[in-house]
Amino acid sequence: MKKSISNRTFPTTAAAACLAAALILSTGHAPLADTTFEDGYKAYEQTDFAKALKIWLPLANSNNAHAQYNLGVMYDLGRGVAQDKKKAMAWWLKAAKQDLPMALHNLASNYLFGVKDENQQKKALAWMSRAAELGLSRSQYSLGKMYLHAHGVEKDEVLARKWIEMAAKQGFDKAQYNMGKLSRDGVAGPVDKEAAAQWFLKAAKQGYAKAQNHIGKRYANGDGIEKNEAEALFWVTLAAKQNIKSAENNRKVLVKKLPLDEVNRIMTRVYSWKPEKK
Amino acid sequence: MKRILRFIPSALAGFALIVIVSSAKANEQEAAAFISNLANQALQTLGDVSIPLEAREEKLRVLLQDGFAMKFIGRYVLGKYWKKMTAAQQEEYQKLFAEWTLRTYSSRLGGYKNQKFTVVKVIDNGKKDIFVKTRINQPGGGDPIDCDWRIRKVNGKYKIVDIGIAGISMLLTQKREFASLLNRNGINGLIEMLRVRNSKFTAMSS
Repeated sequence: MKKSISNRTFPTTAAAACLAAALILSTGHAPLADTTFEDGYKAYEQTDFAKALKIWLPLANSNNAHAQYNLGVMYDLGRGVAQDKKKAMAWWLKAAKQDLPMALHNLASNYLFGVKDENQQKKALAWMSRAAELGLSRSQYSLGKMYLHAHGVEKDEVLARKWIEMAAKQGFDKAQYNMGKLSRDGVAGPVDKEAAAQWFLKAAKQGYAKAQNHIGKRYANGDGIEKNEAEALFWVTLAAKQNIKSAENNRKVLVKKLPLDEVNRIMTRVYSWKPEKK
Repeated sequence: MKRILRFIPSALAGFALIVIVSSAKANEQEAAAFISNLANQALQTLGDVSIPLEAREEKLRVLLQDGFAMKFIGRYVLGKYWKKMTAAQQEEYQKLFAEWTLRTYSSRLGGYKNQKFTVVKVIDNGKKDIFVKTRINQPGGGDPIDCDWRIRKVNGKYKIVDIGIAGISMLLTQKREFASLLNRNGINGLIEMLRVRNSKFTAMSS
């Protein structure tokens, strides 16, 4: 009985042994015993990429989507391994087949715009769409922008607004800024200056420079929000600090209009300001 | 006396040669120090494990930006398309291009655990640019990472103007890729591509 069991299990054991041997040969090291995915992440954070690789590779080979995704990142960036975009894509593809949103997003990001082949473009669009459906705000935003500017897909302002709004509602600053522009211009919806100002303000509070300049201008002109030149100066100064050229011009105009003590008070606020974290 | 007079021009030529050679030597030392300083910044910033790696890398990108002639590189790779952009597009493009360049190439300065960064050779052939060849030896005997930094003095400060990987210029590679993309997707397409590429996620924790 024992013999028959060992005979039946031999091929599996042999395959496992071969796999382990291949692993040792490919990394130059034996896999680490008693380690977890999280141990791999700790090593990665400490930039000990060789150790992270040793921990994640066996997991990835046993179809752990998170380990497959992280190996993709390592090959994409050349961390602990020679940079190899094809290997990165191959690992991300394995994880994407298991519906891992970040793998779908990265896979699509490397393909979109980068290939002439229409079939590959369609695949990239499908990956980005799936990541967006799974709730990833960066993917929702990217997809929205693609529909808005007809990049790799037919222009569709309704879909563009739908995806950008979903990302904005999740707190994604660039999407909030874009919702500000869509509301301002009445794209796939009514012109709504109040809504535009509120979206710009949300993104500005997160530190998004262009939104800070936009809300500053709106405060200065009372456009969709109650006129307040002190608030205007506060926001355009923050934008100017991030090298937005027109913000610097707006700042100069406002500084001349406001009393010196008010300007000083605002500068104190500017230097102690920290962006909200989402 | 005649002999002495005959000797003077060749002596002056010799002196001029020594001045040129020593000036080239000084430039080479300065250039090596410039690149080594960037590598040290990488080492110090990435070595501070009290903050997450993604935040450390972002901090490093901000620090390194000043070491690159980013506006020049950004304009050069666009070629004739630069003048076709609006001022807002130029501003947006330069910001995204700088981030993307630093995301792609900053790891060539090393700074990760047990990596050893060395300046292998500096070549100053007396023209506008100096080439600094560097190598990173990987822990565990992985393939070394080689890089050629083409640097130039801009307003008295050294700046990186091109990066060579395996003898291939980043400037020329990008110019070709961007030209093809601009033909297919236009200026907004290029901006979107950079935005999407910069939006890639890094390693996940669980």
